[in-house]
Amino acid sequence: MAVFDHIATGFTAVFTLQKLLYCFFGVFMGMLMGVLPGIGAMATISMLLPITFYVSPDVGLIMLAGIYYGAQYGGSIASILLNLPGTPSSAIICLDGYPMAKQGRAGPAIFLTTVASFLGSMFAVILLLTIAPLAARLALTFGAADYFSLMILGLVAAASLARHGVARGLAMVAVGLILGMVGTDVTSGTYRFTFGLLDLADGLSIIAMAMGLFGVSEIISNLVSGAHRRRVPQSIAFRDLVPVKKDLRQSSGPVARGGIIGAFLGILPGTGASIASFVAYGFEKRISKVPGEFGKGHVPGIVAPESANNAAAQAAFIPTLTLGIPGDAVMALMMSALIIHGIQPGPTVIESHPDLFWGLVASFVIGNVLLLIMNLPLIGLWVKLLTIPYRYLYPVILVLICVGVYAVSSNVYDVVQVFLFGIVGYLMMRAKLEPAPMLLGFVLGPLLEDNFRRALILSRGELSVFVERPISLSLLLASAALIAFSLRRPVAVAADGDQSREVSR
Amino acid sequence: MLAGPVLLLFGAAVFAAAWTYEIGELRRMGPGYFPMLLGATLCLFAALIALQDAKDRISSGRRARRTIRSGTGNRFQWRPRILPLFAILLFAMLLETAGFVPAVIAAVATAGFAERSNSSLAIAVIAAATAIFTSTVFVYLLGIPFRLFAV
Repeated sequence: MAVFDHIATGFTAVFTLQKLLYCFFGVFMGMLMGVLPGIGAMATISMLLPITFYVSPDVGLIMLAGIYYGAQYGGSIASILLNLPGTPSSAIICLDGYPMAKQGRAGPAIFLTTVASFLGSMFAVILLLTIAPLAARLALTFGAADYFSLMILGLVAAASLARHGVARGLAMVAVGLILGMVGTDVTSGTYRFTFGLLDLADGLSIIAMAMGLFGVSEIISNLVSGAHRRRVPQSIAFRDLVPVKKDLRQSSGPVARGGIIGAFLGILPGTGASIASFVAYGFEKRISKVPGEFGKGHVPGIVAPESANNAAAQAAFIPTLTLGIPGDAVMALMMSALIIHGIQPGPTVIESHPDLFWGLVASFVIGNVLLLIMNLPLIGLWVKLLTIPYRYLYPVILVLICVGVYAVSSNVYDVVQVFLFGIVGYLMMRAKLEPAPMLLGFVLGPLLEDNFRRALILSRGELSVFVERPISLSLLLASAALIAFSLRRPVAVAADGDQSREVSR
Repeated sequence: MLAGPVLLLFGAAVFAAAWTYEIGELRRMGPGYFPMLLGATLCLFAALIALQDAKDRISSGRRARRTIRSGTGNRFQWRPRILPLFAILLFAMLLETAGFVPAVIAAVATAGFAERSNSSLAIAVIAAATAIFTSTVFVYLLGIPFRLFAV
């Protein structure tokens, strides 16, 4: 069985002291930063990216991935205790997690979300073992036109699940694609949109953009809203964590469904952990026999999204590594980190770097077991951490962002870009324009253009090439269906999204 | 709600700028072709957003007016909006001219004053601690060649 070979390859690759240490460090830092509201996986990855320059790419990737899924575990703790999401993907946990805390059931809520996270992750690992090689093999048959259509599907998926309507999402995708054009055109060597600045010849910095759009604008909006004041978490003893039997019985179905939804949305390029958690919540609510219980501390309302966001965080590696198309904004950052290390993600990665790929999958198992073991005994530490006032933390976060961005490129203009994107990000937030589709567009822009050009050179300028190839045609039809669907029913998650945002203010 | 018009302007500017590069034709696209398509696409979506927003505003006009009146108690807070951004800019300007430590201290201090409840003493302590922590981690442990003091 090939699957067992993969498992063997993976565990052989990962059992070195260095990799285990970096895996532990990654999940621990991810968890820690996930717990703190206002710093998500994105900021943590940017801050710690310089560390990976001193190790081999596979070790670096294990650490960065650990941060991502570690943050999913940590994020729900702040949601439950403070009604303030630790990461965007745990915003929905506030809806039922915080009411549980108010009923004195914060302990069981944290226990249940931890276990749900673990199970969701394991579901994604199984998918990685079985589906990823198939996806890679399928991707090898892709032509330029197919790649183009696949990216269109990914971009449309990211846009159509945006909270404020598909038009806003698509517009942000277009803005991202345009920003991706800045720099040297690979085909002709022409400088485009550089305004004569040599520092822009290599294009805009994705890390600076991510930090400005997500990190800095988040800090500003937290300070303006004042949501961080007047919040003190209740303390929780280790023995308070035990859930009652009813909780466990209520959880099994939602966890399984959440895992499936999360894994599916994770595999689909363009949608990641945040969207998965919203969709899983909406789905549970719709099929529930007691929809009125949601929002009052209903257990399925925390375990389904938590299982979903973890499954998505790990399944998102499938399109990123096998197709070279990042699953969400964090994956886009991860992909650029790999490229810095000289590894171009694509269908050949599994074949040419089996140790890297299967080692990463094995590290997911180890990292999740570590998180499961670590999370509950350390609950006292996490609660302590949440008592540090935000007003002391944010200046440090801001400076760490600047230092991290500079450390990656040694170029002070990248820090200036953080400043500019910070302004843009804040204005976008005010205008209800979401940054995630934009960042995805930015990363995919050059790839999209390249494949568009190549497809049309091969077809001698015949646009019909995009509908003549069956793969390309079906991907384009799926994109069209997605747009039609989200136009007709302005996103099922929209209502939930607004609700959770109001709750967290 | 300026989102639609602003994006429309941006799209139009990109569309116009694309013509300054070589456009080419579909079978042999020049560097201007794809940006031109993108500029046009953005204009389309921006127009859609502008329309939607206008429709929303008409349907919820009455409600909006009421919230504005009730919101007059809140003064516009410029500190949390300006100071964090200024801190980043200051960091960028000081890093290579004054050195790593002054840049970190100046940025933490500037950002710190964005929140009214922060006392000067607290900010001084945080600034000093951050400078020591980042110098240790980034310069000594990671060996990133920052100059701690340039002057």
